[in-house]
Amino acid sequence: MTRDTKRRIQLSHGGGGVEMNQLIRKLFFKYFSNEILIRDEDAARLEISGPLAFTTDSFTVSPRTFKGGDLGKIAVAGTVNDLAMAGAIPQYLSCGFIIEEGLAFSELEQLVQSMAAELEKSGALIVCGDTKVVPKGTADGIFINTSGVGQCIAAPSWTKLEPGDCVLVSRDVGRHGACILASREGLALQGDLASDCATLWPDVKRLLDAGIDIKAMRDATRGGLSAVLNEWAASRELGIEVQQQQVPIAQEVQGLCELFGFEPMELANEGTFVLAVSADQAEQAQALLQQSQPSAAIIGTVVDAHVGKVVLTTPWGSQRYLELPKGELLPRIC
Amino acid sequence: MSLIRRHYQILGTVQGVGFRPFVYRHATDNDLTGSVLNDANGVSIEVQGTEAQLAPFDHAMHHQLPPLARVDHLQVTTQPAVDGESAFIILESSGKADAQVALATDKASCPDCLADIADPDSRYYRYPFTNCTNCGPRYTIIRDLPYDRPNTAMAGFKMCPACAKEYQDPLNRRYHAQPVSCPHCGPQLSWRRPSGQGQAVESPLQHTARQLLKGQIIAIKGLGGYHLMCDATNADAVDTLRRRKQRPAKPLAVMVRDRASAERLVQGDAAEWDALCSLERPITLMRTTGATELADGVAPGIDRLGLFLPYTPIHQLLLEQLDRPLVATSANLSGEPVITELSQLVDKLGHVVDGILDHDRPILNPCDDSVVQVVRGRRQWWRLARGIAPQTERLPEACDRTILAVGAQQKNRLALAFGQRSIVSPHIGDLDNLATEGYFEHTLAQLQRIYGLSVDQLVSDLHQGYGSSQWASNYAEQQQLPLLQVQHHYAHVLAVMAEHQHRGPVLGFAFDGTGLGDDGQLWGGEVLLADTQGYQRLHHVKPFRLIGGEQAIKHPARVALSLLFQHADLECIQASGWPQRLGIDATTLSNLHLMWSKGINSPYSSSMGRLFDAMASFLQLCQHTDFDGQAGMLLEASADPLKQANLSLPLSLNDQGQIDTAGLIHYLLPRGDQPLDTAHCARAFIDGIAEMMIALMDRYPQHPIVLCGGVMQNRCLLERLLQRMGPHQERLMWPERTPVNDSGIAQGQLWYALNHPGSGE
Ligand SMILES: [Fe+3]
Ligand SMILES: [Mg+2]
Ligand SMILES: [Zn+2]
Ligand SMILES: [Zn+2]
Repeated sequence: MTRDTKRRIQLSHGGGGVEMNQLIRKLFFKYFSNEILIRDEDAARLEISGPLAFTTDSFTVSPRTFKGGDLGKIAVAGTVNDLAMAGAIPQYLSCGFIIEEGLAFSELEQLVQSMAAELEKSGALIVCGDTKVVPKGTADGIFINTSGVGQCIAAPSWTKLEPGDCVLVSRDVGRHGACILASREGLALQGDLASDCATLWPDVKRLLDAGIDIKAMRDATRGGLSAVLNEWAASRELGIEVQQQQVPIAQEVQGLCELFGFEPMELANEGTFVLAVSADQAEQAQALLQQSQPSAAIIGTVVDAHVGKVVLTTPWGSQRYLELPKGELLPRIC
Repeated sequence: MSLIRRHYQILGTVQGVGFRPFVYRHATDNDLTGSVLNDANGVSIEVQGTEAQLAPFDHAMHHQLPPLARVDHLQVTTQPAVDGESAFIILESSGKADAQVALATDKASCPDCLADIADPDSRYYRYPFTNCTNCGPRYTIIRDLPYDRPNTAMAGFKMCPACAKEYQDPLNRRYHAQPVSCPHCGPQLSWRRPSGQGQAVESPLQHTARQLLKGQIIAIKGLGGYHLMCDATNADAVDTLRRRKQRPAKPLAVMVRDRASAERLVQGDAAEWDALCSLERPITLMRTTGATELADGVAPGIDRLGLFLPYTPIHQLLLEQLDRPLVATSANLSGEPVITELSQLVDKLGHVVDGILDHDRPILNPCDDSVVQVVRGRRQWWRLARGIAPQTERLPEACDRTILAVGAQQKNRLALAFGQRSIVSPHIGDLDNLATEGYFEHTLAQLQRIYGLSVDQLVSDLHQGYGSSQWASNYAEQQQLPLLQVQHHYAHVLAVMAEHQHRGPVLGFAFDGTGLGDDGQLWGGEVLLADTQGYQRLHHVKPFRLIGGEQAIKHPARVALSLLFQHADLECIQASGWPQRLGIDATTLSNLHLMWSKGINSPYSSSMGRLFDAMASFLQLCQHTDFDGQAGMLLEASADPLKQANLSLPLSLNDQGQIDTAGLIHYLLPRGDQPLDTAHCARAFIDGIAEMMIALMDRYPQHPIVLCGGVMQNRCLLERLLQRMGPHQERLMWPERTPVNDSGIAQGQLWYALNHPGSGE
């Protein structure tokens, strides 16, 4: 028996006894260490002033480790990004683990390490947590839940969208979805396809610090760019026109989508956001975003026409609706 | 002698076709008194005279109609005689009543008008908008019924006294011809730069001719839209047009001056020449004669040419001037409707054209050119539009509600039934862009306004991804209307049944691209036993995967691989030489195999059209589809010169009754790295399908036979079938005026709803 296979999470690690205490102190406290957490009270006591943003999300991804990230990184970046998208400084996070009995300790440690590394990018702290171990077969490896709070320093909202506003995307789209697809199905790939998984707070902070008035902002996770734009158009009852040529898509993502017959704008992202600003700030916002991601681009405008719809102008000048992602796409060509 | 008074109520295509002058002439010739009236019901006539005077009039009403008139219904009643009536008069049109009149379609210039424009003494000499009641625009200039000048695009042109005189003279050929006008009072041509800016030139027409001779690409406004034209003998001009329009392969239509010019380019039998020269002036698909003066780029790799003759004085004068074939393709962005407005032309195609020959008569309803092929004397319409559509038919029984059938996604047309009438719109197009969706709504709104209709019931395809189906679902929900859904291939069969007003049963071969089946799979190689109440799926092509969904339709090699995967393992295929021949590298092959084996976005399909694609791919005729039907046309071009193949590639029925490709694939599989005889393989493939179909006809000898779906436009296959089916020909139900491609779907949907009377509640 190798050392590695010996070191697996047992039901007792969630039992509240010595093993659990060990796990908390030797693993979680070690990597997440901060004053509030190690106080080890029943609840974390926080001091924040002003309007707050509060969000929660549970994370599961298969495979758990992929090019460009892992479940731990997503679990932190996801919640931090939700706060950032609300115009809030990501400050405090909670963290709950549901672990399937038998998970390698080394994998858990790896995930925790990447959570800690990701926290540093925004400065957010994990201040409370919980661990449950469930019997083999009742969960798929490990699930992580994180909740977060932070002080709002801006209030972007789709309600502020107005005709004439410019829509930008913070980088090329579809990487996460494409990357997961490729590794899940075991495809042979040419080129280097990594997930975009990242903490977006530094980009948001740079925009806000420069005085960009972000009207609306959302990270393009499930359903991709297409879902965000459609939700905005439908909620605000305005149209959004997008120049297909302006939407940045990496060659590798394009290639994979052509192989599968998928639409890159519908693929999930984990470190890409969509924002709208007034036209006079669009160029500046684009330049600020390009400091970290050169592919950031102005992709379209909010318009009076096409209420509730997103209209894509093809490179040939014809227009079509960019629809909400649907399940199976059956060919319509006869 | 006692006077008799009769009333004629006539329904059909009776307005704007010289009907009232015809009535007037026959009434006055026979010294009858009374009146004739155009109303929204059609034409209403009262005539009074002796029995002897009335008899020739009655004969004329039944047997000597004007050339463009079509009477659907004629009712004669006797009325009490009126004392003291002394004249026969034409009454002013009344307002809108219960609209039952048929919209007239646009017609090519008549010989009399062509003589006028050629006659230096005529006031119409070289006037490009010359027309009369026997010819000229109709549907494209109509805003509303009754068909009177204020309701047309001519409303803004005030007639000069000379025109007014002709317009008001019941014995003149131009009596009440709404678009009548002359150089003094009518529309004018103008020359414009690609920016749309007008530029003064002495004669816009002659200037256009000069620019075309120089190899330039000119947009020319015609009847139902603009064309893009260039010299078809100038290879550079044709290539430039293709490059600028980003249209690499789809054949371009060619307009020639007259039949003699056409004979230098194509060959055909009498029926084909009749179609080409018919009043409708459709684009007629004919066999090329081989080496001609035409540039190769006009229809690359295809042994057929879409040819048509001038149908307006503009085209006539231009072609006479140039005396050479011109490429004449609809001005549009790929997939969008034909452009009818200058601003759109400039916006969308300003970069494609070198100049614009424009005019100031608005086009109110876009209408593309119609397309027909003639196979062994039988006309088969590929696209029904200018000259023929909107198509109005009299229903066998009155319908108690207004039914709207919204058709398919591609080659969309919509169909309406109300009262005792059905109407099918002109070709609308592929509903995958906003412009075509807008045209769909415009067409519907226009027909609804003209006939004063509000829809009571909708019918659509099963496929919820179709723009038409989505539109129907939304509309039905908003308006709380019942919505029927009809399976795509069943609708193909029903469309042909509808033309014959047949209620079934029939043996239907629906050989098509892909359409959604009842089981959620994609169908398209279907043999159906159908009547108007339902259908039974007797046989179908053994399903295979479309790897990557629509990607497989664009890249036929994926279908070819999918068929190979069905019959051999990956190693065997890797070693076969096929991947190299199909241009598939090792990584792509293993990825496609993975998608195939796991079923990732690789739905099953039983499509016959996709088998054509696969075959064209195996034979390296086509690895990238630019237009639908491309694979079939390329296979035809290869197979056509051969009367018989020296090998056999049968499609047989397996023990589950499926049409199986095993024989075909087992022939091809071991020959991946050997030279293949393309012509023999193509011929054997097409003949194999024909033989399979005939075997099925033998097996089901009772019912009428319907051949439909896009594959049934394959001329080689049709010729083989017609030649080999023998006595089965007697039960062949041929669609004379219903397309077998998706253009016919709305008609099939409508026929289904009409035969389900309770479904409208
Ligand atoms: Fe079809
Ligand atoms: Mg979230
Ligand atoms: Zn005429
Ligand atoms: Zn005049």
